[in-house]
Amino acid sequence: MSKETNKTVLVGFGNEYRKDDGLGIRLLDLIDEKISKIKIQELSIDILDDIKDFETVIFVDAALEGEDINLRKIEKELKFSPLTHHLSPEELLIWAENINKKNYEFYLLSIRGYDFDFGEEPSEEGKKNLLKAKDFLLKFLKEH
Amino acid sequence: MNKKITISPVTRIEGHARVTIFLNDEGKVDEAYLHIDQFRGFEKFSEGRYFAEMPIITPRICGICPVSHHLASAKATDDILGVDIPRPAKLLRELIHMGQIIQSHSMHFFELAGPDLILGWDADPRIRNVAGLIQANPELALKAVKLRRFGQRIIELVAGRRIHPTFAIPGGVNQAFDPKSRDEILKGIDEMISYVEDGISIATKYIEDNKEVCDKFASFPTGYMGLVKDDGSLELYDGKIRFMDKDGNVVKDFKDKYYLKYIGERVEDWSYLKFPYYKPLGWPEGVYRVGPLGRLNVVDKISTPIANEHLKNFKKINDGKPVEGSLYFHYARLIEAIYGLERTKEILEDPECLSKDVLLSGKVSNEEGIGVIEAPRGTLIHHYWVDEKGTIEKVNLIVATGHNNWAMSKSVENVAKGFIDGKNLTEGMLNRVEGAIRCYDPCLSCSTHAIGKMPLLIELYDSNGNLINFVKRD
Repeated sequence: MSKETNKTVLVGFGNEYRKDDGLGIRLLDLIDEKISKIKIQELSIDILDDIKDFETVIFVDAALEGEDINLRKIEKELKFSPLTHHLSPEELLIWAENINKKNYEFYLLSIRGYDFDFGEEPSEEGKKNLLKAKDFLLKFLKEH
Repeated sequence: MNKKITISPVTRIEGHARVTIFLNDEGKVDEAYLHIDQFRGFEKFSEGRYFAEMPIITPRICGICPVSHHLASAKATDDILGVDIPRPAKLLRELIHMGQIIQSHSMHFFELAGPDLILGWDADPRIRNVAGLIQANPELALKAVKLRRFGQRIIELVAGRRIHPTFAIPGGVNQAFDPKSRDEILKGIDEMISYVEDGISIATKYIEDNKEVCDKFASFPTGYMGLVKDDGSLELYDGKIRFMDKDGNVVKDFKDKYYLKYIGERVEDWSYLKFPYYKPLGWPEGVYRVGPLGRLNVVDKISTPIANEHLKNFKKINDGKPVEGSLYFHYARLIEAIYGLERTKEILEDPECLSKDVLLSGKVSNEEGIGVIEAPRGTLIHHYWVDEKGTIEKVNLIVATGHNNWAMSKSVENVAKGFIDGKNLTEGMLNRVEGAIRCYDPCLSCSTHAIGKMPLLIELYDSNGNLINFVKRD
């Protein structure tokens, strides 16, 4: 792998009891490479300690719409979640750089989900996208 | 013809909600509603499960306060076994509960309420956020992070993991506590209390400078509800349920197992979330508020010294009568954070917290089990019905945000009428409407957070139904 895996961490977030909402977490189980992984339900500042020794953070989450899979680099963005304790990756990047006093590369890999009802099994379409995301992520880690 | 403004959804994270504001021809607000598009799927999802799984399953309802569901659920399963768990197990459960209170309350104040109180309601939204707060006061932001970490660290050290713990089980907890972890937590408490005191200074200064706003903002009479100890002091893990009327009279103290006798749930066709009310007073006279404001209104005192001194000042706000302004939720939240820290110290200094007597075995003895605790946002009720083998047949959950449903909608209406000018809609007006909801720190327990929904939109229609203005925040 060209990307230094000891400086990269995968952060999957979602709720495995809400079918496709757990795709981000399930992807981490499919990645056998020796790379650090963190599973969480919501993105919050709790993660700042966990990522302090890494340089690249790749978040993986389910998406309600859009392409089957999509990877984008996260830029700092001054936005405000009006009611929630959950943070966006854009907000978290601001926290991380200010609190941990270092620069990061943040990426968000989105996996399109279709069914977010209660249940432990992802939808069939979701499972297909999960496999696509696995191939994509492995290739990305190798090439970048 | 009335004009209609819709804010939809106000958040996609802890659930979905919309705010609809109806304007008349003069551009004044006629009516306003908060609609919560939540469905109670988790109750159905739990049917057919073995009862002992519930403390593990139910924390998935919420990524924000999983410990609250974990503990309320464990208490309900104790009830199914018919056991009174060992005191050391109660202490350790209460300890992780205090960890959650500390992290949740502190984070809400500094991250969500802070930008309004410190930077101003009408500040540019590009800076009125946590990033703006970091720039304006980096030391304060760091303290917020440390407080959050401290609360989470308590949960991690006691329960083994900070997210979705599996620690509390029917009959007690699955592991004893160790002295090294106790000492680590004890070492940090005084510093954390000083951080919360900084927050209290900010809150009280704001109140002093804006007394009229605080007394009028989303201020209206309701009943109040919360757990209390036998001596009427604040209780967050156990105790009896106290209901207080709008005039400040303690109407009833009752055991949690009788909640169905006293709490009714009204259905309105404009919201999926039900509207709990105090049955003996009927609807709508029986509407009430829970959470920090409700709790500090119903209690006579707090058992820990520093928090109790702050409570005395809180009680002075309305000369001993219930404090009605919703902005006072923020002050009450910080007083409870102090209590959480002081109570943590008390538990850690109790030798029984290190006892290995943490679990009682038992068998299914009751067909029903009820567990009630005070979650950060208010009273949380788990009620399970099981068959003779312990298989779940029916579940009833009343979450804190549900209890506050009527009050949140009333707050939206109150603030919309006070601040919205339909002919000149500004972002600051919208922020105040959001701020009214924010006082309650709602968690709409949808628990999904997939990417792809717009968090905020206000649309303004003219009398012919044409869209003439909107405010949008991604």
